[in-house]
Amino acid sequence: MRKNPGIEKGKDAMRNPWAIGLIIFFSLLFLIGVNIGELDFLYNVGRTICLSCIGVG
Amino acid sequence: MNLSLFRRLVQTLVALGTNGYLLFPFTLDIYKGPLKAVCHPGLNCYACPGALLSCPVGAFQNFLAAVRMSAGAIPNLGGIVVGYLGFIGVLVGRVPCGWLCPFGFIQDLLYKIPTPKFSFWRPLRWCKYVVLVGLVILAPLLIVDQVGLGHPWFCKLLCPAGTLLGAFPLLIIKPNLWENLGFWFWNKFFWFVLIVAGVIFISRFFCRLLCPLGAFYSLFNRISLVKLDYIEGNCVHCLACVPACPTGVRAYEERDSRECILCLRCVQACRFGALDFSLRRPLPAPRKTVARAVEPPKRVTQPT
Repeated sequence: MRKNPGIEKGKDAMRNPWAIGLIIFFSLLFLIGVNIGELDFLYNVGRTICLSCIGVG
Repeated sequence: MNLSLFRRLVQTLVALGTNGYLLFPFTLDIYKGPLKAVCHPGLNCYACPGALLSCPVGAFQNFLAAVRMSAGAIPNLGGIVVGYLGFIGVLVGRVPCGWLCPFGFIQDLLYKIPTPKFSFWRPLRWCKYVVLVGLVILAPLLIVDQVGLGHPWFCKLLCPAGTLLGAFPLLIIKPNLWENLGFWFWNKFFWFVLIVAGVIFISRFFCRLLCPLGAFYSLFNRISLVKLDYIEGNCVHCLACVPACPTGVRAYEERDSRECILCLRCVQACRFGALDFSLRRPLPAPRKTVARAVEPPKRVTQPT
């Protein structure tokens, strides 16, 4: 195996200024969802048999 | 341990572990415990009797389908699901497709059936975005019945995971459901047969053509904190990575492809170390300080 030239490894590594912002955005979205009661809704959806999924509703 | 063997082990453990409610043959019902308040990161039908987690696609559609029923209260728009999936997407891109999705695992197994294999016509990859926007977002939101309730149209019309993991086992443990089978079931059954046939002949056919979850995760492949790194200096253009890729990505010329599910089969196939799994720095690149060249000496004009 050839030696990995470190300078080339980082050459195309597009650094990403959006990632931290998006992580904060999606974390906030999740927390807002939890706070307005979406967790209960999700739980209720999950524990009922989805008739659409099995094709009878 | 061999990387593909390790991935297969992870896929098996996740598929069995998240569908590990073994009491359903006795209770004749699906799992209804507290874990159902958590979504699976992959496509895994929550109508499956063994499913311990909820399906993110099904749950999100149900949020949108019930928006008009909120009656003045703050509508539940599924922020909890979008936030959860978006967070995973920004962290690891399509890693859940390659490593965690039970239906992806089933596709990998079906593709092992020894038959002639065909390539995928690449422009069709855009279909999954149409499915995401049309069937998962717009249809549940806009097509409503008399009382204002929508339906999870992707689950209702198309989802093969629902047919395989939800419908078939439930029809076995609840025989009374057979009486209610009609157009919707046979429509789904038709699509299921078509998709399974496609999966046997074309690698990851459903992921590449129709999966709305893959479409969502793919939006983050270019900014996720992990990425497939291509080291040009090590590449001898032997093309060993091309047949190894289950989604037909040419890793040496398509950087951060939206189709890449980060299964790392190409990394394993490359004997020259030209492909690597690495972290992308989350912060902007520091501005390069370019040393100012020494100004050329001014031409001295001699007085004539």
